[in-house]
Amino acid sequence: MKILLFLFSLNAMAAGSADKATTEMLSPLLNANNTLNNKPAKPADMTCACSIQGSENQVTFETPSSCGPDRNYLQAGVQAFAKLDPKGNFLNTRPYAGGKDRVPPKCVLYVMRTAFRDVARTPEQKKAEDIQKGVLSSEEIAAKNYTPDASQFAACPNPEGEPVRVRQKPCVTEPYFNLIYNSLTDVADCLDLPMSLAVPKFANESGLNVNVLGPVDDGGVGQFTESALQDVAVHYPDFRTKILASKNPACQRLAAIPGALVNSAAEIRTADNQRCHAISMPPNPVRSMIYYGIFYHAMKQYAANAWGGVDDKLAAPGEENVETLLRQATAGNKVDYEKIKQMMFVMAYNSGARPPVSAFKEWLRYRLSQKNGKISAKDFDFRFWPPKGFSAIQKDAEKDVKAIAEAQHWSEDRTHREVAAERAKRRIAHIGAVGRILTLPEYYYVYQNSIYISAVKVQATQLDKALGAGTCTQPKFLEL
Amino acid sequence: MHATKILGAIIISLGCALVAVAATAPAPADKFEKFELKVHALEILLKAEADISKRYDQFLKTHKDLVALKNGPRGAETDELSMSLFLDALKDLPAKKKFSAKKCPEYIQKSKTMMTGSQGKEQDPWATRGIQMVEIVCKQ
Repeated sequence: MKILLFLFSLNAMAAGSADKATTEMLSPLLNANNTLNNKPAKPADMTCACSIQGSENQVTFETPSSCGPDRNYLQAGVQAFAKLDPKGNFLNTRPYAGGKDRVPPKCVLYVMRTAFRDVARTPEQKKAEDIQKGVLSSEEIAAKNYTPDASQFAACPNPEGEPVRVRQKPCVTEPYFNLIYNSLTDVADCLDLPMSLAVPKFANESGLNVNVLGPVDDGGVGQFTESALQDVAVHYPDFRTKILASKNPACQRLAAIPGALVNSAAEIRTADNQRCHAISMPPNPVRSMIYYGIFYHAMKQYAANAWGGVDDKLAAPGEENVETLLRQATAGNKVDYEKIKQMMFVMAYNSGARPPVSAFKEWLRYRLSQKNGKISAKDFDFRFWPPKGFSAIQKDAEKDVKAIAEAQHWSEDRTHREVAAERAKRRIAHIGAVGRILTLPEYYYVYQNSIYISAVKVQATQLDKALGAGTCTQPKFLEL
Repeated sequence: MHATKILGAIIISLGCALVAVAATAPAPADKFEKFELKVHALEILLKAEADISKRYDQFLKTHKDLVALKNGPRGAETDELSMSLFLDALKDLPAKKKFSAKKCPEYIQKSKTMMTGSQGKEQDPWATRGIQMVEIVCKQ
């Protein structure tokens, strides 16, 4: 807490002259001719069909003065980064060159501006909002247990140490945005990461903030947990060698930032109490964006292996592979296998590579066991979203079943089984699917409590609506 | 009493007796209960066996039975998915000929990597149990 107060008081001291200080520190970089093509960068197209905090039809940067001192706490980090980036490769505005799977700056800025609240709310603020909305009765408001919003951002007093949670989202200034956008673009270029796939996923996760800290200490722009960082470490040596040997200017720019490419996998700090390794700036966001590129490829490989069963060593006689089941279940109806694989891959990030495929195969078997169970493209409609109140089912069902289990002295195994069955039963009723066959999104929700693909689809739909179809996403992303 | 009446009374009493027996006797275990019992028994057996090679033989023997059970007539969806996740967590263990105790850390790590998400999503208890089974098999 003391550290936090110290950080904030530093920010507060700097705040009075924040705009001036930032401009002075960065002016050589911001005013310099662009180092990439020696031409001044044209102002990027920032138009949108959106309204963000009073700005109509335009995605805009924030400024230290518009954010106020509490939200401008990354300023010192940006200034420190500028010292490591004397050519301004990351802090300058680059012209947008376009290209396959690339997205323009406004997509990234839109995500950064719209993801998360500026400040986590207090119980009093939440209560006041409910009163203002007028949806709940005064009795309901009085009975409601208001808790503070979780603090989802972090400060790093020690660059390799434990993050300290803060309630404020960082101020999305132009230099900070450039750091994020240029890091993402260079990793996309150097490590072949499709931005049009990554941006809707980022929108659903970190909101492209360098210092997000999730509920399970998943931190940084890639929301890395211990296990994800361990995965990165496994693949790191190969990628490091490739980046260092590459003549691709994007790779060279990434490698030029001191500390962005650690010397060996052993230097990747994976423990939760060292999460600042993937958060602190500098060398982040470049370091964590490189890790994200590595993790993307690892996950893609795992997902492909899970789909094809190519890595399965222990034979399970009589088990059909996924494509055999899919052919039987579609019975001549055309569905795009590659699109389905992409859905599994997107979900793998959240659930592991194999469980989405396990559940998909069970869904296919379930459909094959039903009369009129034949599958078509409309069974993959991830615009599905369960009605309000769905998240309470998980705990409510468990509580009710456990009360019976305790009274009747059920074994732990039986209790698990009954809880799972009760949750599924309630979810089916909740989505109005009693007595009818479930689609894949419904099956994932009912039996795996997963709406992850739907959540990413919601983000993609929002981006399409605000910035134009296909501007920030792949065509027909997560749909057949 | 007329012979047909006597016969009728006997049939009724026998019927009642059968109904009473059916009501008090435990229902035969279903597919998932059998699966669960086998897993439970295997966990106990493997924990008691010190020799890793013998342990692996026992594991493979039961694994066959578990697969056969899973391939039987379809049960409740929650049960089918639980069995699937459990068996899928074991897929990184090799056939007997290729099994090497030295590679155990690799088998465990692979199973965790393939079955666990990177974002702390609550793990299905049967996926966790499958990973634990790999750890029990591999305990040195």
